[in-house]
Amino acid sequence: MTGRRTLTLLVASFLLGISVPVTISQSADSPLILIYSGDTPEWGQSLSDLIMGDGRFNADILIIEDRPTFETVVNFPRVQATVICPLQKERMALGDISDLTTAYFLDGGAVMGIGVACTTRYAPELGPVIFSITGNRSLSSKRMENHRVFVYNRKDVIPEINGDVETDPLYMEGYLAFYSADATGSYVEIPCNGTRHVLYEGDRSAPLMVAFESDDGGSSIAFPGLTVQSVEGKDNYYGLLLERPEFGELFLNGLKWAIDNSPRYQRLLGSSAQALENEANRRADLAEEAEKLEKRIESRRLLRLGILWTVGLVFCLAVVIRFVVIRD
Amino acid sequence: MRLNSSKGGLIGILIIILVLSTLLVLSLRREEIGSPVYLAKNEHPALFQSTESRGKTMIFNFGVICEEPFKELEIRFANMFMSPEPDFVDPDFVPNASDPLTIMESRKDIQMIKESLGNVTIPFDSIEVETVAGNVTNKKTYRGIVYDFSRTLGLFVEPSILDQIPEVFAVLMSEDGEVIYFTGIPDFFYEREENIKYLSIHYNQNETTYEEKTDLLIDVTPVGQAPRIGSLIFEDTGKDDQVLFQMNVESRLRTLPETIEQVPFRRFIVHYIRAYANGKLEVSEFNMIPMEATGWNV
Repeated sequence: MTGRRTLTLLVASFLLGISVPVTISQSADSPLILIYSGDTPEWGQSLSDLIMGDGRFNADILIIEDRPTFETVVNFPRVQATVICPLQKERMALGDISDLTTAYFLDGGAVMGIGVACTTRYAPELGPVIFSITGNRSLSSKRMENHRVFVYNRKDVIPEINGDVETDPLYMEGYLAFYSADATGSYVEIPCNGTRHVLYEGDRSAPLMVAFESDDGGSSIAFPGLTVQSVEGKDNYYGLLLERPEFGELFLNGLKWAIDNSPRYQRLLGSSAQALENEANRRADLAEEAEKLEKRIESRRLLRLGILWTVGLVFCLAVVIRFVVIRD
Repeated sequence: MRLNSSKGGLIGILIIILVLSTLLVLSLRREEIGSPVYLAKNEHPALFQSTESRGKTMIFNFGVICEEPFKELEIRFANMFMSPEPDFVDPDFVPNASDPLTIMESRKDIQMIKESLGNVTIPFDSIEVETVAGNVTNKKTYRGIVYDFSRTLGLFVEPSILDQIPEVFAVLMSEDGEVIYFTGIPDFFYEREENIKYLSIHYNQNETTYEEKTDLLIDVTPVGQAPRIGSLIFEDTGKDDQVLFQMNVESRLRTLPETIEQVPFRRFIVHYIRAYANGKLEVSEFNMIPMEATGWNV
């Protein structure tokens, strides 16, 4: 951008009310990962710490507690992935965030859901559209280290996600969430518009971890079985889950896989610069027009005042000639 | 040729006239030039009421006349509703002891939005506003600030998504220190297809109308097809060109934001209209309309 353009843009910015530049540089933005953890930001912070500790993610992380802010920012171009993991079901209004999260996903965004966010009962749209599932209801549990864990078995393998996790069966903390079952109580898969991989499943095919590549959107990772809570001492306290290295690895690999298989961020990275440049030029042109118009109005006023003044002057002169000057 | 000495008084008067007229011309020269956009009409209901119980249609009118030709005339609408006091970055922040701009900048949600936007050189709109609530005998003046991110977001986000996102915020403070908050969307009205029954946009003799979608009428352009994000753009307008906007609204509690279900937030709604000529803000009408607290079927 030329210096003149920049100057004109600043003028234009000023003219548009008292507009405040968000920042003044135009350096490349780092990507942003949103964690919507609702009323339990410490849970979001724990997941954030996991991501920050992994050198593969060069992203800023924003932990969001309230629905309106999540709705506002989820479709921003910087958003590389979003992790939806509120522990409270009703209060976090998962149904309400559906439209804007679905729009983000269908635009090619990467989404990860943990617990109730993947369950049709609490998030009617997120489950089927984004995660291609209806929920989880694993009944097969056992007691380990003084608390109950659910038992899952490995099914599909995606090397980028499974990584070094060879564990089978896999034990994870969680709780009951619901899904559509047939007469035998087995999980009923729903039709999906893309490729679905169930990486781990419980008894009666209740899915624990599902990787979904949508045909007309982004990619998602769902952990429907991990309905944890924030109360220490409970069987499904999230702190217990975070202590499991398998969870950490599947979570991070899954997030990386979803990002790598979602085109939105890279696409917008390319088009954003162009959009900004176009808008800057448009504003500069308009500012130029505004300046021209202002000058035109100013000159017109000057001309009118000049004529008025001249008329007055001529009048005074006429009076002087008529009444004051004596001709010999 | 000589001067008539008996006309000294007249000469004095003429000199005074000359000096005064020169001063007048010079002072007029310094006078601020008026807006080239003339606000012809800005009407809204005196009270925002439930249609369900009152059976009333509320009519909004807005009109401007171009006093100069413009390359671009843009009219932007936003609809805001009262919202609870937000969280602040500093939990000990006391808004009542501050000013609207500082309050806005101290909001956690605003900081998150700005942080999420990142290094975007295109500024968002930040506009100072003033409005009066009440009547002649009992009125209260509020001054404040509006942050509207829609213009910046519009560069990256589809319009169909944009007008669902709460991205217009206002913080108002009264003379006695009361602070009220508004959050809204950039559109003619919230949930346009539910609330707007009729919308008409006149540009000189050309009229475009939109109506509520019904099964009975087939030759009707539904409200959903009206220009998105409450933005009307007219290019290469001429001198004396007129734009008139009319909207009929019928609202029920279920068609308004959920915060309105709580009585304390049923005090005011805001219909905020701006007109930009060649990108310059010329008209800013912050219509804060009292809202009926009762009469809504909860």
